[in-house]
Amino acid sequence: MTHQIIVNSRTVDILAVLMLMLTIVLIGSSRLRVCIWAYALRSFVLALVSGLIAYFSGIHHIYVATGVSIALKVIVIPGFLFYIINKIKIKEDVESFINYTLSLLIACGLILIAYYSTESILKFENVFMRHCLPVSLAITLLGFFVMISRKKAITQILGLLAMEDGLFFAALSTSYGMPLVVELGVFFDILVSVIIMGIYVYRIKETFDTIDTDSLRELRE
Amino acid sequence: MDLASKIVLPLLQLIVIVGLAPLVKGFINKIEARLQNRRGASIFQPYYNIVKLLRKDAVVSETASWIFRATPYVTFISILIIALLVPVLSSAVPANFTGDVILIIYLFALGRFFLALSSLDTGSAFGGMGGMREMMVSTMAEPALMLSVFTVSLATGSTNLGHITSTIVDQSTILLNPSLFLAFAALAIVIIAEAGRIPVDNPFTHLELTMIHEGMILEFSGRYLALIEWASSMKILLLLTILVNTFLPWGIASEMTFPAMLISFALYVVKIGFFAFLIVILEMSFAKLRIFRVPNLLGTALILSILAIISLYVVG
Amino acid sequence: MAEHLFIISIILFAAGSLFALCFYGWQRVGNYISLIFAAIASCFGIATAVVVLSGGSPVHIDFHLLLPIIKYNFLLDPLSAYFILTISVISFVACIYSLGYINLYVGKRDIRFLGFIYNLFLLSMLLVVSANNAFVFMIVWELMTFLSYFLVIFEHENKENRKAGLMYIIMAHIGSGLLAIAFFIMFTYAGSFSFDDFRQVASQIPAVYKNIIFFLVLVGFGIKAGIFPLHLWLPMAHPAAPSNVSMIMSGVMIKTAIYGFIRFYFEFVTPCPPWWGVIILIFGAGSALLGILYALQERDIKTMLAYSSVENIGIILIGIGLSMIFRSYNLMALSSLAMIAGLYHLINHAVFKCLLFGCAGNIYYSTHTKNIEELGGLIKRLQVTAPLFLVAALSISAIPPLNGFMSEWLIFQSLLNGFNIPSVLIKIETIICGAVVALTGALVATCFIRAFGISFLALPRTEHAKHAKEVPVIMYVSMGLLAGLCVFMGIFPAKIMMTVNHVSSHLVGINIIKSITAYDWMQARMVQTNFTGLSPKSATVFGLMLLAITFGALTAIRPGFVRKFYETWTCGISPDPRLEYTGTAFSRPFAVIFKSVLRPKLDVAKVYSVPNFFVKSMTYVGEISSIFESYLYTPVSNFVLKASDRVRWIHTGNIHVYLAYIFVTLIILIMFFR
Repeated sequence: MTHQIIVNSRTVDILAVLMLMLTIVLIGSSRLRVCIWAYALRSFVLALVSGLIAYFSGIHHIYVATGVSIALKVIVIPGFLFYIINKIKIKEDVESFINYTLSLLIACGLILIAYYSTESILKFENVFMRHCLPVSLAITLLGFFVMISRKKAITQILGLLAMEDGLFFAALSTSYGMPLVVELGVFFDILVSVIIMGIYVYRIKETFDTIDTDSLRELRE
Repeated sequence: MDLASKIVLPLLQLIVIVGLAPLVKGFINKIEARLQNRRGASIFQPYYNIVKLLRKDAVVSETASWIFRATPYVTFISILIIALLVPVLSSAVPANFTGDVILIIYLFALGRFFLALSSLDTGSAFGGMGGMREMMVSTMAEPALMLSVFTVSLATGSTNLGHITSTIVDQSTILLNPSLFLAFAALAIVIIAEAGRIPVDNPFTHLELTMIHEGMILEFSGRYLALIEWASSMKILLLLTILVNTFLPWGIASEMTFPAMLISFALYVVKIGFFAFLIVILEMSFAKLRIFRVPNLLGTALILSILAIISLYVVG
Repeated sequence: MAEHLFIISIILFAAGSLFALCFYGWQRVGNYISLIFAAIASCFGIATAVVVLSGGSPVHIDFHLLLPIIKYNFLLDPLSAYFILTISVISFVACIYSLGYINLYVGKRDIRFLGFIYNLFLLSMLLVVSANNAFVFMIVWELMTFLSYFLVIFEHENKENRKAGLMYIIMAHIGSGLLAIAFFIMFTYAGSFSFDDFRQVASQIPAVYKNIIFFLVLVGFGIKAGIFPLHLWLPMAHPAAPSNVSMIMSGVMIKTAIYGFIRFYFEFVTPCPPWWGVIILIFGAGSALLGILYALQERDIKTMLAYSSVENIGIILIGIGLSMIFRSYNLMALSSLAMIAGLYHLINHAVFKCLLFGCAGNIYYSTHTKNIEELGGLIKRLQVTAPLFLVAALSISAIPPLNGFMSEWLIFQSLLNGFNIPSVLIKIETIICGAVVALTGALVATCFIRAFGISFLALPRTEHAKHAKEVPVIMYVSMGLLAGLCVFMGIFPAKIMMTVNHVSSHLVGINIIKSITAYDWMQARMVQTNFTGLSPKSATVFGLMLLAITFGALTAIRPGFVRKFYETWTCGISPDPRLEYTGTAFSRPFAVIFKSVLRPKLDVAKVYSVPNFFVKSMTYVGEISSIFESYLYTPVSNFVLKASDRVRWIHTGNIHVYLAYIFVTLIILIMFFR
């Protein structure tokens, strides 16, 4: 493989690992604002990665995905989340069902599972962008884990967004993106769901004075 | 390498590390003061402090034993031995055969062992508390340190720092490995912990609620305090040197000619200065963590370093 | 030649034990004579080992005694010789130490049996590692267990000691029972009890039985070695025994179980599948971490040292497990390296653990307490014991340039070489193991800083500690020998490595001495692996040179340096031992960090003089709950008790029923064997 291709692929790999580290920040931090900033940064890095992939491979519709990504995921959605947080004035602690050390260990285990299960695929593939598949699987799993283990609804939104990021990245790195229509559809889907969730969170806070999903269970009675 | 360079080079390394260490500390303090809109003490203030302390007598507690009086020497000498093993100006370290990075980590542990013992020796509560906290921080930091260093050595095929540096200088694409990136992140967190900077420890405080390293050395005075402070600033410099010459080794001299050495020294100073500046930025951006949140931070560093090696193994 | 030395040493041990019994009126003299005999016998043991290890071929000793069908076979091959060397060195030092230590018991109790059983105990250990016949092995193994039981309950008026002894002997017997089953399975395949025949049939045993033997041996020897979760007897039995017995139990008796592991897994049931090595690796890492976590929380010095033995056995098992994994993938040179690491740690641990127990015995001798919270300031009173304890604490924390560092370094090198293993899962496990070893190393340092710091430094906390006097010369001279050995083995590792290499080359089949030692600039031997080189001698030389330069420079700057002494500043109150840090406080952060494992329980009771406002007194009770006891042992023992309750109906107490049982059995036997 030529030197240039190796350099390119390694650059993308490093950015992928940066995204993984930001997802670990999502799991590890105890302040809500830090989590949202981590999400914004991760979306920015993802946009950078998709821009680089578009540049290296010359497939132009990925540029469109990059642009939409920047607009939505770096600017609109984090902005909207910050707006919601300011509006509902909650305690900005991340509360979770599992204590910190255990959740960190589980996160580590999930990343190990991601690496281990993609190992057999990686053995056969050529050298290009090898870290992307395990990293995207790991981000998806971590997002799911965040959704399971956190109490506040806002953090569950962030988990869902992480899952979407992971899946988008997986599609991007292995097959250079899904057809443009599908991608745009997913983007707008996400946008709408975040807006709806945000509005509901606001409403729930107004009505019940808490957005702790644990106490929301009382509703079923 | 001929005999002269085998003796001159280690000596030169020692002089650079011993001489530059207080300057690094002074530089960090000065930049921090400037960023806080103060004038700050001069960059050379730590030198003046050391000279002043060396000329003073020491007051030793009656409760303390010979361990207290031996500790400053043990700490200082162990750091000096490490200074012989780390590539500073040249990637060919003549004292290579003496030991590798595992020896370096355990030599740090030797200094720490005696410091913790001497903190218990005086029978004051400050000392015990400082010793306990220091042991907690360093115990949780050590696996992360080991594993991140192991990642680098697995990627380059040796645990010997000189070999690592020369391998990376020869083949730069090794560095673009994302596993090394993770190892770098883990190593950065560990260095902040070992160097005793915010967010792990506050080096300026003398309140018992907040001190870790300062608590351990509270009872030393005179020549002993000079040696220990010098040793701790050398420790920061050595950790930064390991970081710099492992991850950014370009410019380091491969042969022993005078111009190569000069360039290497200049680049070294610039790189260390840059990382010192980064330390200051980090210090100013975060508040000191509560003491029982520090293991959480170091646990994150451990996870990152485990991931670094796993990704190196799986993906290659 | 070697067999003559060996037989002389056996005879001397036996003779010495008899001597202890002879003199009723002169117990002390009798004991002295028996201990001196034991010391001389140990020297012969060392000589035997040296002869075999310096290139002698394996020596068989066979003789028939009493009944012609019972053959006693002994084999002195390099592995046995290495263990004989370890046992003999430690027993030599322990016997000399005991000469002083038994003064504690003279006049207060009958010490004839102490000498008698002591000698026989040492003898039985020598025989265990040289037995070549399963029958002989089981006999001597049981003998060793019995004798150590009697030694453990030597101070039998204390109820704790009796309970500890009971726990010990029950667990040891369960282990022996499992071992007997394993030996029987091998017997059915080999046709005889001889170990040589076992080695012949190693490859013919079907995989199912091999796995059964693996688990039986793991649990059987594991109980004796003290792997978690089978370790519960260790922290109870080792503190209960007198110090000179604890040093032998912790220093060498546990190692005989490692001998058993190596014999089985490298000779009797080869070739091993990789997952065996992985299981041993996991158990080793688990024992290491849990052992040291519990050790950190202990107040009693000897219990702490016993838990630390669990930790070190874990590290030895990591080395052996890695060796097995490498061997199953045919990476013989790496297997040899890992085996060398494990065996080197074995002898290192024997040396510094014996030294630690000896110093603990010294402390007990002078202050009559083992609780570190009651000690303090001993460095000024026990002026020779303190540096010895310091050397031992430095060695066990793997601080260069002492011997513990060499074996930890080798273990790290073997773990790093794990990248050569083909299977990714196992590679991941070696890395996690590496993290555990690094964490354990740091925790050990904390534990021994705490032990040394709280017991020896600062002010004495009780009257016992204030009036402590140094122990008799002979006790600290023997410990000094061991301390010297620690330093020597750390600075000059090549000799030991050549010896261990000889052993491992015999076991694994590859001699890697050329690749692991080389010469450095001083023409001194240094160690190297495929990654790097290490030369502790040069490090020490550099250190001394730098010390001289520093001292010279400092004296030149201020020739008239004066130290003034004054009391510690304690905010105006005069210094009081109550202001010092306690051991519990020192290790409290770790109880908090690892609270999911340790489950500390806290009970704070306040007594108010005016309710809810003025507190008169507060009581703080904190303890670590032993989760193994509640989750593993209690259910198992409950189950066994319930099961035996069900079967109780067989014991009717009526003699006619018992005669009927015998009658029925007789008829069945006649029918089956006609």
